[in-house]
Amino acid sequence: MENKLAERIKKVMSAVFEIPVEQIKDDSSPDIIDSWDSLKHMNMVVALEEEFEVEFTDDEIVEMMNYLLIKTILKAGIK
Amino acid sequence: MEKDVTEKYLNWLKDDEVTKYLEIRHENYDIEKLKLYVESFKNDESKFLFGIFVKRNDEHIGNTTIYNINYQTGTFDIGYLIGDKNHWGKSASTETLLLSLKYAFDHLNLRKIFCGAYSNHVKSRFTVKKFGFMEEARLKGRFLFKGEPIDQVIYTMDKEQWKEIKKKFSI
Repeated sequence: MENKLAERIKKVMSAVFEIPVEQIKDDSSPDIIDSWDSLKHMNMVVALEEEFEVEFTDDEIVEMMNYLLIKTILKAGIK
Repeated sequence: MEKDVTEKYLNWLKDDEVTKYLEIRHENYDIEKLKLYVESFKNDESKFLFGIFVKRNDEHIGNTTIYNINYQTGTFDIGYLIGDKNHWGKSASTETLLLSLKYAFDHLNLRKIFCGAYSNHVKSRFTVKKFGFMEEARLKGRFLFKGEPIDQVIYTMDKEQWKEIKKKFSI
């Protein structure tokens, strides 16, 4: 379950930021991934919402500043 | 700056998408009112207005203001508007913040910046957070958005944090 979740998140991030899945680590953030700007961030949010059929709050969207935080927020939001 | 008070500048302020999350959308600007706004910065040390231009062709794409400057407490606010939507999501916001903060912290020798955003303006909040601002306060129902109360989230940065930002961006 945990691995599957990680795999799905990384797949989305890889597609949005146009980087290989292997490059996405726990601390991957906008400081590390060059292409992670505000527009790409919103693209990622929409893609994650579609992938996991969830809707993030504004504050959650702003909190999603690295891979680990994204995973934590998703785990809390997936019923 | 007066020469940059153009129809293009005015049109930014009339563009609902540009001003969607800005209080300025409640103002009904025309060229004369805009000129008065720009002139209000003359001979006033408590606020500064700068145009944002593309280096390669001097195209005017937005403005930034350092305002509410209190030299006694060393505090200030900042606001910026990228009016040209072709420059949204690119480096204009970050470069604007860098130059504005450099002026305020290093030239004016101020101590702490306050920067507010509507809580639903997530792109702006992402940008300032990525830049290195800290979320420090939340003013419940500070503004109205489509008739409903909306919070204002206050982000701050002090001079010590600014030193770290300068290292991060190698300036």
